[in-house]
Amino acid sequence: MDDTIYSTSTQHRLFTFTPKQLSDLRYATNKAAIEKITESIKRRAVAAGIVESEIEEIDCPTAEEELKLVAYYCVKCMQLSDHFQFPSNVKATALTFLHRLYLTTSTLTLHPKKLLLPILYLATKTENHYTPIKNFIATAATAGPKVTKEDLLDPEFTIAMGLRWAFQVWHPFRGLEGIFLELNAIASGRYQPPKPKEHLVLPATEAKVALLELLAGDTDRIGRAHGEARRLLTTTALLTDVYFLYTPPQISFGAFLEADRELATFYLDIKFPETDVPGRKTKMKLLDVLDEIAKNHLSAGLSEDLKNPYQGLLLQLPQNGITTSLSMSVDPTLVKEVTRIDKKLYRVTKRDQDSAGKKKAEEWNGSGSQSGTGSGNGIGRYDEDEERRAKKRRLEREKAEREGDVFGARLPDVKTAGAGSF
Amino acid sequence: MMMVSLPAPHPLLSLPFPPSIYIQIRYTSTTQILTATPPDENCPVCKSSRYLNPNIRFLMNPVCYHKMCESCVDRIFMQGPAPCPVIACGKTLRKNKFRKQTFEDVAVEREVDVRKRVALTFNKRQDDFDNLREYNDYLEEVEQITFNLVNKIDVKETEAKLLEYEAANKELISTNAARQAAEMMAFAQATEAEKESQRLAREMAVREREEERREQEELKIATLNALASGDKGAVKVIQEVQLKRSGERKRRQADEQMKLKSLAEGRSLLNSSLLAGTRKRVLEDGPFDPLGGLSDVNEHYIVQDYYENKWLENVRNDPAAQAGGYFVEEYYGRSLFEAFSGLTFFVDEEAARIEEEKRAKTYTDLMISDAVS
Repeated sequence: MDDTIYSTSTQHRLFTFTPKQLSDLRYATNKAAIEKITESIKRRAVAAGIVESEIEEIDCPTAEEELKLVAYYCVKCMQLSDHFQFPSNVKATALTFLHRLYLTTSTLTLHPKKLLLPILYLATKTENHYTPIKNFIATAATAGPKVTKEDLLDPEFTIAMGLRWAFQVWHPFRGLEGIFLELNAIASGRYQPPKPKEHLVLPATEAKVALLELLAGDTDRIGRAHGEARRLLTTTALLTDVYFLYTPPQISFGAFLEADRELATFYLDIKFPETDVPGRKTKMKLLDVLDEIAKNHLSAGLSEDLKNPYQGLLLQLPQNGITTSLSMSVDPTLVKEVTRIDKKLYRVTKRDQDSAGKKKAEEWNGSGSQSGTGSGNGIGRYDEDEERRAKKRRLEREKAEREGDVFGARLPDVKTAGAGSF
Repeated sequence: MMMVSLPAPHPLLSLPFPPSIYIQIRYTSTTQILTATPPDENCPVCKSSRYLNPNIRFLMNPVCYHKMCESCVDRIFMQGPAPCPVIACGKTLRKNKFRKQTFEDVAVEREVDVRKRVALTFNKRQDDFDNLREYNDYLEEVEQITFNLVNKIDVKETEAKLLEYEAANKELISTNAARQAAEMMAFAQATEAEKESQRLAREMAVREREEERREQEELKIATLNALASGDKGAVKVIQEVQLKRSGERKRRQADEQMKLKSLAEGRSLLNSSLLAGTRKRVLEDGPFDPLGGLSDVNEHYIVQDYYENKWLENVRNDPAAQAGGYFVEEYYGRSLFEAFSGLTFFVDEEAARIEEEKRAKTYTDLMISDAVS
């Protein structure tokens, strides 16, 4: 019954995949975006009179590079959320939105940097964490360049389309609370087994004795396990693919297993007793899946040197050079790599805009002026050009005002300025 | 014209009779319109023309659809069956099959004949089928047969199919034919009854007006008489009595009208319910289950009334939170639900199942492969 309810959710219908499907989807998105942008650049170049064979080679970021970039901005989003001191459900929803959005959207089409704040604001609304937009803008200004109300609200429709209008996220840390409510109930001897399995399960008193034996006087152990599992679910789990690959309770139990293996096994034994013969097969499979989550995704010991369990698949794993913990994000080589990718991305999109004409470019730069907290890492460098130009324009305007020229400064050379203007 | 007298059903309301009846009635009226102006032409057999014989009538036989004048038909087929006189036709025709041509185009005439014939045999209705899909398949098959016969494709096989079906479904065909006849009759009766009730209503309205007029006149005379006799009190009394009488009459009339109206409505309701309810299928046994076989019992947990949790103690004892509608019990329920909803749901198994389903040939696939081969 519970499984059926979950299987009707949008999280399952739209955003649950096998590792292979997930990887294929990422490659397909990258391929489609590259084709589109290459075609657009070439077409405009040909229209401008350049022979097709002479067009400079178009170097687009690969799917791997795109994923690295998105993962990096996910970390940035997390830091941004912490700066706002949002609760973990807002943070988790914002990150899930980012992940989901970039499954079917390429960074070539939509740069993640300008979406961080709008997504965070959207997440506050989704999670019912009311934040007046003025306060939001004020707090955002303390973390980076100024943003306007329009900057926050305009991309919302695009984001919602990318999310396929599925805003509800099933977070595993909510289920985790249920697990610990029950564990505490067992410890106090108040636990009641569910009706269908009543005859199979240990009576409450025996379960209490077994648990106390396991705790061996360390009464704080349950609390610590809870804290550790929750920490995993609100940090590492949000930087990996577990939300796409497993169901939320599996992730909760996986984190619990990673936090305290003995305690988790004890609890699972209560829930799936050995005496329940038909349930044994399900239990074996479940334990396999939980192990997979704990070892392959949430484990703190994961590093680039370990063997990749998903050979050849594009998943968010440290083995693929992708950040899965906050501490790794400050690794200088990684930052360097991400900067390189970002520059590459910038060059391609710039070329597309340059050929697209002034209007589109202005649109792009207009909404791209916010750079989140990423500005300190050299990623926001290409904005300096634009800033310098803006400053020049402002100075010119001020000078003109001083001199009393009512028509303002001279307009930049525009070929089309003709009979209509004067 | 017959069409005029039909009760015009509101498009948003369901028709009181199956649409086929309306279509049939319209058919007959169209026929009358089409034959109203006979074209000026020659008989292809004897070459006599309308100019020479203004009363000339053309007939044709639904075997070969060749047209000839009435006198030719009399002359050639008087002695019994004879070959068609049109060159290179030679089909054996009988006199009693000759009839007037309805449509100007022979192809249309022939198609209508074929359709009529097929419809006589294939007269199943939607309520003879369990679901819409089956009914649509049936309709498609019928249309296929009709098309083949009209366009002379695989005539032999199609004819065989038709005969086979006729033999196999003799009983159903005759029942459906009887049902259709009964419906036609009921429809005619309903139309008649409707007309009758309209006539009654009209008559009643006329009578009412007449009565009212007469009353007015009486009042006038009585008042004049009273005035002539100089009795002012009498005038007042007369007017009051008159007012009372007219009020009573109006009430009576309204009652009658109401009766008539409800009678007509009841009749039409009865008709439609009688016809619609002829073949309601009995649904599968057992009561309706809104959950579709699922149970609402949770397999892995039950929500207890109280859980020890120091974080929740404040809320539990805080009247401000509870007045706002926050219940700790809801929190328990949701936490436990989210801890177990989907725990034993394995993504890879589900993916394998979907893959399997995709690979299995569906009914449509089979139909397509049939059509291709």
